[in-house]
Formats: sequence, structure tokens, C-alpha cells
Amino acid sequence: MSSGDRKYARFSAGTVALVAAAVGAVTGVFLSLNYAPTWSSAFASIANIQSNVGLGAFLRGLHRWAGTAALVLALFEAARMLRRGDYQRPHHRVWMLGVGLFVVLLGFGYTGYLLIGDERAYAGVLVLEGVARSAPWIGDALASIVLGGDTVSSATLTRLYTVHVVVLPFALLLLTAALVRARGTTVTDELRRQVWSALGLLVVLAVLALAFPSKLGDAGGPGTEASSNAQPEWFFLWVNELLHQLNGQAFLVAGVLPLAVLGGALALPYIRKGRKTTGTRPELFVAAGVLTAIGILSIMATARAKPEADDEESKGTAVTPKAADNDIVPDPEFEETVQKTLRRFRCAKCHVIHGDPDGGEDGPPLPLGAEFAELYSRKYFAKKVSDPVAFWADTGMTYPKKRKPTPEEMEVLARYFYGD
Amino acid sequence: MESGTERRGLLRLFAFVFGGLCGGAGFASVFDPLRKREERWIPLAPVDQLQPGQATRVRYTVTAGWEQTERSVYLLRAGDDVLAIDSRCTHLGCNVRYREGEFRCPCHQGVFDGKGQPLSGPVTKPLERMETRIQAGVVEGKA
Repeated sequence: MSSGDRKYARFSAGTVALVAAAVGAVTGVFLSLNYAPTWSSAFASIANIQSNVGLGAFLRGLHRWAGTAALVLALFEAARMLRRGDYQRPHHRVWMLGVGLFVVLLGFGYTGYLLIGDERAYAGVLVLEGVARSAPWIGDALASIVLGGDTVSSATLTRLYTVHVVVLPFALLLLTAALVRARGTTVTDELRRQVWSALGLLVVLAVLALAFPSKLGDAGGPGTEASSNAQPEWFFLWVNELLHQLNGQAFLVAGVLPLAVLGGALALPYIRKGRKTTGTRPELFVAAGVLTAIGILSIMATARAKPEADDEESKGTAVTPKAADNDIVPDPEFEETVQKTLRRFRCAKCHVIHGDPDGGEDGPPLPLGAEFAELYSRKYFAKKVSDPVAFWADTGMTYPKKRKPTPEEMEVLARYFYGD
Repeated sequence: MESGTERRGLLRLFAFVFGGLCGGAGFASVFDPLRKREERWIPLAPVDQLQPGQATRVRYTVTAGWEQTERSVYLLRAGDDVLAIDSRCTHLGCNVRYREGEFRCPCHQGVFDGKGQPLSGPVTKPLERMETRIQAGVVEGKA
């Protein structure tokens, strides 16, 4: 055993972080059995896990707390390496792989909370879209790639899902293998402490999952109201707060800044090459400063999220996509017009519209958006709705006699049903 | 330094606890469907509430995985048996109405006889039937 190995021969938060990641992986496999990454299914399937599948809520709790624990433990490990100067040669590779692993863990947390498909996730995806669009020159192209289309859709959720369950696990495995190779296997002297630490972690995770089960907000997704008050997971609170404070600088805040921090962390072994690891250590001050800033911003974000009222304050604070004015932010005025139009023609007398429990049943139920488009082509819609009595005349159908809608009313109805 | 035996014991303990916790929590995710097989029988109505010669419309919810669908059936007493006829017209899915021994669709004038067989209009297929059984005086239908 070389003396270099011996340096690692003590409790390693990093090893325990990997155990937490393993808990996340195994529980994730089970969760995936009852999950589907579409806006209409994601929320419902998780609600089902939560309340109908045996121990489902506990499983979700374990999965989520395992992710949190992995992040926190990885931070501990980073702090320890910084303090001891372990990021320098000969351990610089371990440091850099560790930074990579931390990014992967963040990626799990980020995609994970979006996959829930609730209100908060939808707000988060809209922020993601806004950030992607804010990239200079390639913004709209980047957004299309991220979203899997021009707007947020189930393709977006499916992409996030693939990243969460295929891409990131693969990266985690590769980086872990490289890390083990770079630092050698655990020193046997300390195996006992490692195993007991890992066992302690399992107990803590089980207790946390029981005491603080994962929550589930209201269903979200395209067609629902985008909550301007929703907050992301704790580790991204600071980004949201910065986006709020520096409105209009989305690319700088969520693109350039994180990359700069990442680059700085990766370059640290080279910047501080061969420096003494005793005495004044500027990198410690920088790290402490960054952490403090993140902490303050997170607290500000939490404080801002609390009050429900104060519309001026909460409206348009998070970055919303450029196209928001046209199709994403719900328009109460339009909604009002739609309801008036639907009432005028008494559509709900015979149709259940968008699951409205008061709708009648003589006609077929009418879903909204993509589901509607799947059932009825625009041509069919235009022909039938503009003059229903004539449309059904040949079939002998007893469609209620009513006047023909005006072109304006047709437009309102089409926009409503197709979700234009 | 720990002996090889102790090391093996420790690792075995870890594997046991790790597997027990994660596997235990996930056990039901895999085998829950077995537990729910019996739930495919949906209670519809007490059999003594069904009058002979009348069709009683009953709404119920079908749960398949996490998907829930609202449906309705007409229950008709046929001797000791109960006939459950799905209310969705086999033409375009409007809900049929029971009147004078026939099922009529309000949308396109499809008419079915009292057993759900097509009589006139654009309909060609009979109304769907639900398998039924009577458990402790309650009619149950198989989703």
C-alpha cells in the first residue's frame, strides 16, 4: 500500500454518497415499473404509486432522499478534499472525476423533480425552455432539441426521462469505474468504518422516507396554468433567484455562470498547482464565498415563494419563454370568451368537455389539445361546427337546432379545442 | 486489520440490509398486480334493486394501472341472471338510452333491441356486454 492510498484510509463521504446513489438506482428501477413520461400520465402514475401501490410512498421517499443524501455527501467529500488539498497531484484525477460525478448527481435531481409532472415540474420545464431560448444565435434550435419540438409537450418529458434513466446512470457508472481506477480500491483497514457508515445511511434514509415522504402537488402540464410561484428543488433555488434578480440575463445566469463554476472546479488542480496546503488558502475562501452566496440566494428564493398575493411581484418573475405571450401563459380574458361561447351554444348540455363532471352525455366527450386533434381533424371540425345541422342532415341525426357560429366564434372554439 | 471472515461478514450484512430495504420497498411494485386481480370485479348494484323488465343505468369507474375511465352499463334482470349492457353506442360512442324495451342512440338514431343486438340505423355491431356475477346480493361486473 502506498502512502498515497493511505490518505484515503478513513471515512469517505464519497463512498457513502455512492451507496446513496445505489439506493437511488435500485428504488428507481422499481418506480419505473409504474411510471409513464407523458403529461397526461406522469402525475397520475405517481399519484397511483403514492396511494395504490403497496409501500409506494415509502419507495418514492427512499428514492428522493437517496438523491438528496448523495448530493449532500458529495459536497462533504468535496469540502474535505479542498481542506486537505487533496485536489492536487497526485489526486487531481480523483478530484476532477468527483466534480463530474457531482454534476451527474445534480442532473439526476434536476430531471427527477421535473419528471413528477406536477405544477412545479411544469413551471420548471418552462424555465428550462426560457433558458434554452435565451442562448444567443442557437436559442430556438437549442430549445427545440431540449423540448423535442417547438413547445413543451410529452416529448419533453420523455427526453428528460431518457436522460434520467439511461444517460445519467451510464455516466454515473463510467465515472465511478474511472474513479475507482484512479484512486484504487478501498483500503481494507477501513472497510469496517465504511460499511457501518453505509448501514447508518440506510437507516437514516429509511427514517427520512417514513418521516418526510415525498409530496405531490397538483397536476401540471401544457394546458394548465403555469404557476409563477413554483420553486425548484433546493439545490436549484439559487439559480431561480438569480434568474429573478437578473431578469433577462437567463443565458448568463443559467448557462455561462454554471459552466464557469464547473470550469473553475475542474481547473482547480492546475490553478493551484504545487501550492502548499497549509497557511492561507484562497480556494477555501472562494468556495466558502460561493456557498454563502448560494445559501443567501436560496433563502431569498424561499422567502419570495411564501406570499401568495402581490401579483406584481410574482408575475413574470421566473424566466418564461419568449413565445409565452402567445401560447403558454394562460390568458384569463380568452378563457372568459371561451366559456361564454361554450355557454352560448350550450355545448356542455350534451358533451363532457375536458372532463367537466357537469357535462351531458348524449354526445361524445370532448378532450382538449392533442387528444382532441387526434380524434377530429381541423377540416372535420370546421365543416361540422360551422354548420352542425347541415352536417348531420343526411344522417338523420337529431343535433339540437342552433344558429351557426360566426367566424370569430369558430376561431375561439378551434383555438380552445386544439390548444392553439 | 480485519480478518477475511469479518470482512465477508460485514459485506454480507451490508448486502442483506441494502437488499432488504430497497427490495422490500420495491417488492409490491412488482407483485402488486397479483393482489389487485380480484379488484377487476366491480360492485354495480344490489340485485334486489333491479326491477324485472326495467333497465337500470349504473355508472362505475374502471381502473387499469393508473388510468381511470368512467363508464356506465344498463343492468337488466333476466331470471336469476343479470345482463349488463354497456351504454356506449357501437357506432360513434354516444350513450344510448333505454326506452320501451329498446336501446336508442340520440346521436344518429341507432336502435338496438333489449339484448343489445342492432336493429336499425347506422349500427352494425351489438352493444358490448359485461360479464356479471352476484356476490352476497350485489351484482358485480368484470372490467
